[in-house]
Amino acid sequence: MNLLKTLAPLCLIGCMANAGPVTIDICACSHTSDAPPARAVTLNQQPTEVMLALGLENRMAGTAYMDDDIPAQWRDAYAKVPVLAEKYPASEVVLAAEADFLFAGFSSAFSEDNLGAADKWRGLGIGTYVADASCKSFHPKDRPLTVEPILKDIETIGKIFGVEDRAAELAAATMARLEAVKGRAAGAGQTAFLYDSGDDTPFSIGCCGGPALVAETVGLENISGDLEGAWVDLAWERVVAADPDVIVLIEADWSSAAEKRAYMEADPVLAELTAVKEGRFVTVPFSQTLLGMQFADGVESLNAQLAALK
Amino acid sequence: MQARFPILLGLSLLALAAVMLAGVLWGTASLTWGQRAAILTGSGEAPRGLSLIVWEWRIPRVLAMALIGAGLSLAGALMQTALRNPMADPYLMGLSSGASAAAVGAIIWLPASVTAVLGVPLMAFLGAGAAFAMTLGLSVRRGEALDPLVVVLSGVAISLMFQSLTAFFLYVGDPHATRSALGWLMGTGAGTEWQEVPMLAIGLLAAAAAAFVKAGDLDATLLGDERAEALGVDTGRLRLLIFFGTVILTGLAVSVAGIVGFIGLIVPHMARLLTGARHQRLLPLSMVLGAAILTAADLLCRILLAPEELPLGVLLALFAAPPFISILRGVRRAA
Amino acid sequence: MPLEPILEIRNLSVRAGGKTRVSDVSLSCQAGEILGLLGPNGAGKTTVLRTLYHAVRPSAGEIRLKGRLQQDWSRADWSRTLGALVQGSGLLTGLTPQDIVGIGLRPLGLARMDQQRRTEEALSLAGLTEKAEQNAESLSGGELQRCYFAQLLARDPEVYVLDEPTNHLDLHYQLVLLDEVKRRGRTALITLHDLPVAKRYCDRIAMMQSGTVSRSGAAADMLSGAVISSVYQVDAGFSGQAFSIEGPLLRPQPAQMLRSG
Repeated sequence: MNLLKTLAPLCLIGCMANAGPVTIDICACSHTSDAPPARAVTLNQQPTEVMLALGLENRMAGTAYMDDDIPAQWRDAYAKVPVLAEKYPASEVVLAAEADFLFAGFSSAFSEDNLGAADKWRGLGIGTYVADASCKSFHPKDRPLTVEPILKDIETIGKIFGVEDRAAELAAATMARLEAVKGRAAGAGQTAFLYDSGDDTPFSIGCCGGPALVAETVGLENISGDLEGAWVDLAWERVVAADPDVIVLIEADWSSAAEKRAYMEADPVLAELTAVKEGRFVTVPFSQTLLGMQFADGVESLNAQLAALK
Repeated sequence: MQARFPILLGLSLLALAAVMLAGVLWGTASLTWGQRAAILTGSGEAPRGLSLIVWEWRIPRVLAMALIGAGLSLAGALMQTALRNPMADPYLMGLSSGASAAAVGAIIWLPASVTAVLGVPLMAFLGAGAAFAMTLGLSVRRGEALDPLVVVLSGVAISLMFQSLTAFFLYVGDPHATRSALGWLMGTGAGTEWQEVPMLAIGLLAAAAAAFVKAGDLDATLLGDERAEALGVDTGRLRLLIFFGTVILTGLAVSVAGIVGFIGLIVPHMARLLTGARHQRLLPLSMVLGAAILTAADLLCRILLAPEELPLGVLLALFAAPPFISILRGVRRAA
Repeated sequence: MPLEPILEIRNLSVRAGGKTRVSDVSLSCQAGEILGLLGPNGAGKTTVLRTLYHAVRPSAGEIRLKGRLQQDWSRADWSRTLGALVQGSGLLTGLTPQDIVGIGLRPLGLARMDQQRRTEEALSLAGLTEKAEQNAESLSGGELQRCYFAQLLARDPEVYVLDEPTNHLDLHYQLVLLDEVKRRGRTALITLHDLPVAKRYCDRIAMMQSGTVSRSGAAADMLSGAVISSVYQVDAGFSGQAFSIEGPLLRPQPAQMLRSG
């Protein structure tokens, strides 16, 4: 925490050297020129969705590294923007697209073997920003996330691109939806096991990542909530000992909900879990567990499924 | 020396029994002593879920770890004799890299439906077999006996090839699938099912029986190929038999638990220090020590960071480093 | 009627590595006879011996032991009847001289007491009683050679095949060990470089040059100045009275008890 306080002024100084609207973000300090960017490149799913939700497809030069399909409401807008790469594009590709702003969903985008340090891009006059939820310096592993980061992203992007009104509207709408779910949380008083992938040892969640927040918002109690971090390798024995009321399956390309359910039903020990015997499974797509535009969708869908289970 | 061996073996067997029992009583889930007693005696009071944990998961896992520990130690001892090389281990003939490439490829690339049917274990076994066949193919020359040095070098070449394949799979794979693959590469006892146990037991029994029958020939091989021939040993055929035995033992081990390193290299040395190199004593002691050590490591992996599980490779590497260094020193001194 | 030779090699040829190492070699030993195989390095002596213990396969020719062809013998029976002292190093970690002798005795299936007695006697002869339970890796070249010699003596086959047995050995042990072979009256085929040693032990000598037997006959005849000069390409004044090792065969000392415990 003290380190943060030391870094903040340094970054401030660096940023202040530029004219025009300045955005301060310790995770990946960005600078912008007088005019809002016109050729932004988004890396990963959430940034792309934030931009599209704010109607900024005309200011985008390219997208890359999507995890899932784009939700229906933004599909036409998405089609207008060229896809630069399936994973992280090479630096040359980004420059060839004449990008003037990079918006990434994970700070690993700016690691050595991907796009290289954010400094480098700023040196070329290209601004950078990393989704708030992914800034490890802001969000240590043992502190649970809140929905703050989603709103922060909307607000910040709104400021950078000069669409503050639309941003405020979107933020308010999102907050309203989340409050509504919290108000009638269908998972209240139930324990849950969140299952992402893996069979010998399931990949589950700890206390403090996006999926943990999803569970919390709908009132569920996470059986591995005492473990640090966002994702953990949980031993099956813990799941059996806890005998959760509900099993939340994460639907993803690398591991479908159906596969996971089939695995649990086929195992002699897991088949005896209350939730498995009674078929108390709910599903949530992976992108809806991230702190981005689909978070509210995820929370609402999960709440509805839980209500239906009762 | 004559009286010492039975005592040594007896103590080791005791240690093995204790560690296996511990592996059943302790694990990621905590049980009270009352529950443990109820579960083991099969009384009706035992809670169903916990009882299943013990009978369907822990017991087969502990048995498998013991069988694999014994099997890898046996394979390691045999390879060290066959190649007359103290640094030999069961994975020398490309077995581990072949199995890894196949398993990682299966985890990352094959659609789940195919993997469910064939199973990663089978693919790993086939991968090991393929690598072995290629290594043998490279080393065999018509009319000449297998040169141990050529075998080792061929194994290295094949290993490198498969390792690069594995690296490629890991690189292009989805990060979540990659994590799964990495877990396999580091070895784990998790996910062991009852049906895997008989297979391991039969493989081990067959290999151990054959090795024991040939104990005299194995001893002679240590003295050098020519000296062994003079004592009536067909060294070429014996070496081939050892390789096949190693493929079976190692292939089975890898298919059940992934890559479990160090046991095959270190345990035979420990046993040799305790009881000498005569195979009649070396092999049984290696097997029991290997079984005990792997079972103990697996137990620690389950309880150290409960409820999270460590892969076997993490602990084994840590434990193996000191003995490994002293073996290296011994080898240098003898050179 | 002449007795059938116990060991007979007829028209033996060996091709290895694209070269002919041995060409049309014929040798025979009567029971109890010691045949010396002499000649310059590279003459093919060791190759001939290697065919006898299955280390290399003959390309042509026949080898008969006690009248039966080599291929008609099982390896186990053959090595019980014909034992060899060979060259070569091994991995000796965790082995003792006692182990090494024991490894040789095991295939014979003797009773425990018998094995122990033979081991003690052989090690005593080889002067290794004190070091019997020491790590074999710590033995010197000479001690190791004596150890393997002890293994062979403990096995006591009917035919001894010795490839340069005097390697690394000082005169004392050369005599002690070879005297024992002679004293037992076994048949032996020995390759040697040492001429006085050859003269002491060999009944007959065959000279090999460039893969063939250039001449053979009684030891006394072969160890003449003319023959030696020709075979070894040395122009020296050998006289028939070259340094000889005289005297009766040494008697073995009673075996010392191995340190107990």
